[in-house]
Amino acid sequence: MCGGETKIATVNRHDVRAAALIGVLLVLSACATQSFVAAPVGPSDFIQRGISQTDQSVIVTVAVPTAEEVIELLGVDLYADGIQPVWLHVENRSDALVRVAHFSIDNDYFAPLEVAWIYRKRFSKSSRDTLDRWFINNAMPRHVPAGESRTGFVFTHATEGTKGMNVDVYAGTHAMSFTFFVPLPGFKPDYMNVDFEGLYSDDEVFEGDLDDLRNRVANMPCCTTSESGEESGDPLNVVIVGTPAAVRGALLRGGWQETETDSPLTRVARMHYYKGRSPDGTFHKSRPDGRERKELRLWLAPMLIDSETVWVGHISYDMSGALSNSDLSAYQIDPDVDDARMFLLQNFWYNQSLRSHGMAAGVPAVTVDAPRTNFRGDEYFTDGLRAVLLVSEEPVGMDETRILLWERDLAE
Amino acid sequence: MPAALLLCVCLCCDEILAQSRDLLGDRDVPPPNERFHVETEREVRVTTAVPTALETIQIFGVGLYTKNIQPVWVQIENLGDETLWFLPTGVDEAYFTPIETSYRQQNRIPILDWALNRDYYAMRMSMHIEPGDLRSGYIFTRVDQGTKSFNVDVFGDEEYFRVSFFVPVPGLKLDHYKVEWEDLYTAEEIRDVDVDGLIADLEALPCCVTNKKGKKFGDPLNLVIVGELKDVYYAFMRAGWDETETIYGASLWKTMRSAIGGSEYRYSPVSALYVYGRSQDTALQKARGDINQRNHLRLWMTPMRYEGVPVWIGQISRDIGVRLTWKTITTHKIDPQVDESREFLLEDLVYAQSVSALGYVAGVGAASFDEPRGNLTGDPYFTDGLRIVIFVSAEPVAVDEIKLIDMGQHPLRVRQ
Repeated sequence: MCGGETKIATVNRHDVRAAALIGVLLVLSACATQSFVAAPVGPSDFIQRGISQTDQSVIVTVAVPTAEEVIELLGVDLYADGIQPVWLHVENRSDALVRVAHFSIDNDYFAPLEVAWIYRKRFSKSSRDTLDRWFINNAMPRHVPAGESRTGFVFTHATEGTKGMNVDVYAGTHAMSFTFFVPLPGFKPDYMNVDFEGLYSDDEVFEGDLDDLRNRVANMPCCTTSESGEESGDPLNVVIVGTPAAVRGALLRGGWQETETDSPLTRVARMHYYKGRSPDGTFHKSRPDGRERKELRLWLAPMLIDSETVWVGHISYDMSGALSNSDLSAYQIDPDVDDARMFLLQNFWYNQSLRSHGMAAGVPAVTVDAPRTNFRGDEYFTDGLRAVLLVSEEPVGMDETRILLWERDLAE
Repeated sequence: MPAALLLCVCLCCDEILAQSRDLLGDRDVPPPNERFHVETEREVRVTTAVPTALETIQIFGVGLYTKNIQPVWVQIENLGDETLWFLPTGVDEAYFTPIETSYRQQNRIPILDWALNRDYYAMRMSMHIEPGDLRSGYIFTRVDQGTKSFNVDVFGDEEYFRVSFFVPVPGLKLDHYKVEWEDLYTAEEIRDVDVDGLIADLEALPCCVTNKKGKKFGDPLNLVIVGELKDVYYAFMRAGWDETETIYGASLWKTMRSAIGGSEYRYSPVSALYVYGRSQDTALQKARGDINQRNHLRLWMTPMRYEGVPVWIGQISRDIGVRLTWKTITTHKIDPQVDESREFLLEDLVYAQSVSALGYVAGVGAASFDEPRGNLTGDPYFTDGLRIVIFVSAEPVAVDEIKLIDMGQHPLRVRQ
């Protein structure tokens, strides 16, 4: 083993992990002999999937390789270590230098040599320089001179599903902000499996304006149900109004992770029904310092408000975090579901997605002393209000958000 | 002494908890101590107080700090005539919910104690404040020792009130509290400089820090900050930097434990490096995923004053791993690409809206990837040889209002 050449040429992640383990063993016996050989970036498939945006005379293209594509490129599994490279191409057609702010893409991005450092011990001493150089030469430069282009990677924290990010570019003191949502092949979010066109017939869909919304929301069913429709589930405490692009944009900007239809992460969510079906989309947002997560379950409602779609949903907080991934009995909802509702309101507000918001009635109030129990046995209490959040495709400054003076926080 | 103290604490806490139970239904939660900080922004008066670890035990009956939870008491008075919203995200974007706080205290046993839940829930801060109303309560945040810096964000319909707080929390021995700022330089030593003088003086400073004897060069001095002590300090606090403890037995032990076990210790001490024959006046760090990934910086006040404002010289590096060395037992491997760490810091401060102007000067001397220089612990580094000059502002500065000053150098003009 010690004298042999270990070469990673396969796409299979498990093999690579096994090879990584061998790498560790080799280090322990002080004889890592594997050479670092990177494949050329240019012809990679992921670059063909690049998405471009233009602002005046600056064109930004971003592309995101999958975990497998990263292994093909570098022979190491960056995703397994929570690192997701984002490939950028910035073309500066203006007559002034521009600067790309890596911080805007991920404010805790990994430095190029920091990534190299993680893997250096897997490679022979003679090829560690090659490794370092690859990361230096393929990192995205910050400055792009007038009339030139620059290309390279920024190493971000890995997210599941569609990669949402901002790219800020500065020309002197002029700021340009680009927002991208890059789909990743191999990951199909649950809402992509829903035939939204076929959900409701035309005469089922109510069309109205903002004045109708408050009453309509107050008259929606209080809660989700069990599959049979006979037992009461969790309170429908959130209503989101906006174009599908605005709703999706608000969720991605807010750092909400998409889930796949059969994911074990959404077993509890899929037990809950509205209009006879489990959620059209389930989204998670974890704590930055742990795996406890907010869970948002959304259904398309048969309603258009000023031609925009209306999504009804439930949000709550699974305090057990990842424990419930493998053991469903560990699932522990925070019974204070109003706190989770307010978290979503703030999340949209701080991420400049919130055009206006109001509170509507619709759920019977229950106090902390006498919580209600859903069909699963989960307890919750609530002031009975629904947050109605109207979202915008364009960023809304935090002091531009309108507050609809509907219901007040009655329980207080 | 500790035993007696604990006894007292437990006797007291029943009483305090009983008091807080009486407050159920009441809108006012009493403050944890009398170290109030009061700020008024137009029609909003905000008072805050942060309990120490010990005071937290007295109020809640348990040591929340050990679970990384720090309650912040907030009182908001609505002096205007419209309903206001208080958004706890401004205090900590990852605040804990009241019941989660209780749940973590019960070691995550899924059978919840409703009496305890109710106590925490009753002490929470409301998000609504009606005209003429005064509301108070706790937000449960992640722990900051030394100085707790946070914003209290209050919104009306298309209106925004932001009040920033910097609240010292007793219990940490911080390095910069030891420095007698007034005595660092005599009146004769202080030099007033204009832009040209600033450039000349900065470029004449030594390339690098030294060891105590001043015989060996270490990390490059690649950072210049222009600002009043208070403004410099707030700028870094706003961007999420933490103070450091001075090296003494207990904190070194905490650092060791954190380096080996991976648990986070955000205030770990840093080693002394020297400029002007003295160790750093202050050291700050920004924690990341674990102790092996963090950014460190050290600052020294220079005798220069630009438009009457102090000029600071410093060094920034990014830790990317741990190496064992004989000198300090564990030392952190720094990212050899020190310019990347420097540019990160600029963006970090810019996005915290703390930078009013910036420029670059020479003085470090370039070193290439192929012929790197070394610091005092033997880590190689390479650089374009420039120092970034960052002028910090007390008032928030939007990113498109930052002044770019041509000080004769730019990273693009230096071939790397």
